[in-house]
Amino acid sequence: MIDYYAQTDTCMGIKAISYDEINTHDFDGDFIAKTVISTVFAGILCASNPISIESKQETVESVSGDRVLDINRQDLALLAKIREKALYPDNWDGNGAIAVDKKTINDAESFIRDLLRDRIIYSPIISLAADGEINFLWVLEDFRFDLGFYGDQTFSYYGKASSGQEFISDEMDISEGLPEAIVNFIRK
Amino acid sequence: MAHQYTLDCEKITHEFSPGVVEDEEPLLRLLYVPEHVDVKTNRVIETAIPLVDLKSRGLSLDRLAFAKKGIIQERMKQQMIRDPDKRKEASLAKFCCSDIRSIVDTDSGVRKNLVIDDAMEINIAHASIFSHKEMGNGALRKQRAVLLEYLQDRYCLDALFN
Repeated sequence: MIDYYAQTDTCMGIKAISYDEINTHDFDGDFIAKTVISTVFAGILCASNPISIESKQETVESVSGDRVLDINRQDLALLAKIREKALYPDNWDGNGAIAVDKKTINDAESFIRDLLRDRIIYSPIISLAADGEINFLWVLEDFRFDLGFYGDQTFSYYGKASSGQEFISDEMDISEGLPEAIVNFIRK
Repeated sequence: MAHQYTLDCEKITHEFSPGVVEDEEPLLRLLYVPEHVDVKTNRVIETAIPLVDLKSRGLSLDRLAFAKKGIIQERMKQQMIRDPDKRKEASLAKFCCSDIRSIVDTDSGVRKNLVIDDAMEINIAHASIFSHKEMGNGALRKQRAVLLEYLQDRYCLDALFN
């Protein structure tokens, strides 16, 4: 579960920790402080708590010197979007919505990390549903694909190609990843 | 936990209700832009229909014939305040009850959805869509893909109530 990218003066290179590890590992205070700052640069704070692009850039440089985070990297951009969903509290929609569970965040991260390991894909629309689901939606010219996580280490999906071919799974283990036939539709 | 409604429940009038939901009734579903709409295509997306709503909570609707503009307006206001970035604009998808009730499983011919009178004291126009049969999340995703087609015809509040 390694994945949290941050660069600091005390820890050379890229330090990578998962969402859970932030709270459970024995990192020194300086590293944690800088990691939190770096998290902001990746766009992880939600839009309801906005930070200007200018201030993000300034802090990126002050923390990492000439080693600036590449926020244009697809994996980092998608991870940032996923983690943004963790900031929504219960009843975020004013209609009884459920806050997303940490396990759901972890499942979505694991999935996207594996998916992007050796390929570039079309980026999905990442959204939070009122029932605590993190949803990935691909709306492509020849394929529409709806996939979601609820934090039980599985995902489910339904997709339909313009040819009429359908793909459906009620429950698939995160470790299995997506079938290649589906990956071929979303691969760039 | 799955809901307990059956086809017979569509014929039962609940407390506060103005009557059962008739097939020909126009129904409304409140949606927000960009939360529920792909701004590139201007089409309503899947998360506008949470799976848990179909499974157990019910997908909330307003019955146009009994809906009060002020009640919907206040709901819009309260919900938009909670997340102004994701709720820049509100609209109401309008469709006919029979559109939803006529969706059937192509193999068995069994109806896929229930439309239930779900009146509340504060909103007698409230109704809900439930999945008729209990099913897995993949199958529910397929079902919501079909339902989505009926949420694409959207109106602003004033257009429906003036």
